[in-house]
Amino acid sequence: MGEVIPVDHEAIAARLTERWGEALRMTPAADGMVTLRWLEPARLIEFVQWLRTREGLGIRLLSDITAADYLDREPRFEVVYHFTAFEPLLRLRVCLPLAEDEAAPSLCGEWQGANFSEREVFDMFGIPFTDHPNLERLLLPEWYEGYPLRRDHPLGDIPIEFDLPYRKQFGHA
Amino acid sequence: MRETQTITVNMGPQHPSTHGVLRLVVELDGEVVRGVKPVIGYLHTGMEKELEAQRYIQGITITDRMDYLSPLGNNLVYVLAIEALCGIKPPPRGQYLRVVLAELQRLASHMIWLGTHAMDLGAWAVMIYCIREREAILDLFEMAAGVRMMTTYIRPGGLRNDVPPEFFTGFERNGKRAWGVYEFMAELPRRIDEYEALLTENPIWINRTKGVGVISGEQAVDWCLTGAALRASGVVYDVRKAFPYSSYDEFDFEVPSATEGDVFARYQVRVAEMRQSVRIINQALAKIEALGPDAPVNSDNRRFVPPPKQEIDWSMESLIHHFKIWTEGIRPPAGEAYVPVESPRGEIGVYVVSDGSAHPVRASYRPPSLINLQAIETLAEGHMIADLVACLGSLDPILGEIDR
Repeated sequence: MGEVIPVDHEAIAARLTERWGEALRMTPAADGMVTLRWLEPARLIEFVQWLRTREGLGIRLLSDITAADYLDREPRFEVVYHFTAFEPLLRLRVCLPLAEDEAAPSLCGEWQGANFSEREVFDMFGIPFTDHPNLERLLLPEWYEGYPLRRDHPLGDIPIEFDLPYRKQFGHA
Repeated sequence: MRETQTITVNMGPQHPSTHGVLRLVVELDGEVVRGVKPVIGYLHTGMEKELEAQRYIQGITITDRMDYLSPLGNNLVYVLAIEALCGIKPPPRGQYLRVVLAELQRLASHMIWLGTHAMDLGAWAVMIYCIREREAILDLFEMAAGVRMMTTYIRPGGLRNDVPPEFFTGFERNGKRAWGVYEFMAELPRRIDEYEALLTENPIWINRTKGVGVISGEQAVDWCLTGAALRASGVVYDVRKAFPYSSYDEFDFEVPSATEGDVFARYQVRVAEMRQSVRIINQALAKIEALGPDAPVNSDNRRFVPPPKQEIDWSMESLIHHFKIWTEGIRPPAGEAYVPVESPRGEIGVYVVSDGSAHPVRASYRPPSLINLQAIETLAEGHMIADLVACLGSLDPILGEIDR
């Protein structure tokens, strides 16, 4: 494992904006991570593929996919990706702002491990992922209505009981 | 000749070897596994939603209950994310104590993992040995935090309180001796040798684990594995080394790795990690001793860190800060932060978004167990159903963290 080299934010920002121009916007973050807002959902896969190349940032690992709901902001949702490069060691945060009816492209084609994280985001926020191999609810039962981590979903409700309907999902009776 | 048909069998959610309430839908061809599909959600209690509803310090109690084998690790990662938002850091004694606690927690978690994993594969005795040492660690946590498991001990800016002197020296009561951390660290390497004596060269153990559940480095990265599961496949990535937090950059330790990528390699990596943890704790204890017992544990930033209780008696300002922090909660400046930490299971990360109020807008966990669990499909395919248990155990999934 290489030595810990301080991240040169400006050089990375310059490289990213030179290659991708208007499609992204660099934003400062409290934790000092290189953070950008990706504004063209349709080109996200292309961007990620570039990030993985040596000419890009040499990203190896998809660390996390999550989302946040900013109820009063337009667009409302943001899907947040965290990437890690090993050589040189670097972390990158890509936020993908999405309106309520928009879908995010699935990264399952790039990393199989994106599968559960994307299903969880779909489960909790109702953000669909296009080309996902198996976009179903992950933690909640399939008949559950609503998306609990949306900010307009009430906290506290009748308790959820896990019932039998999930059985047919797997070809039982 | 008749064509063979595969059958679909349900394993769990109440199966003892699924480490909680994990349900696996297994497709079998005779006794050979052709497909595994994890079904999860039985422990889902909406903890991330609850974190949004609670104030920052209240939220720490919820993080205890996610990964119940590593509560201090969960406290630490949430608190580090809050600290990143606030821009505060504990003083050195607080940092080193956090390292000691985090490594003790890693040891305790690996002991439970080793015990249950060996028990799954038929080596029952190991569990008894592991539990014996884990008790000593939980005693240490009880001395420090007052509780054995749900500690809520690591707080923004430091710890809830300094550890008592008995944490270092141990004490005796009713003829029973509770180990201090020094005694325990002196004894532990010998105890780890005992675990290894039971397993490492045991032919049954080797037959059950070598060559089982192989995953290559490329596949491991493709499945986004982290932790021992990734390092056992030859990809050396440890958050403590790569992105040091809590003064880990001041310690001299190695990141154990292997290249075989099988169950045995993951076992070896974790046991080697336990020895490295002992090494880190010993260094941290030396540093704590060098600082002296009166060094402060908590940051003195009164905007985010409550003042010591005694100070309230004579300082009006402290009384005001105390009142403000405990009635209104701390208010980190608006922003976002993601902080990863090396948990016993892999990279655990917290993404916190603050809008400047006392409640987070979003507090999301990256659960290493959940993401590692996906790889069970690759690991178990083509193996016997008994090996499925070995593969699952080697990933060390904790259902409380998977479902949250």
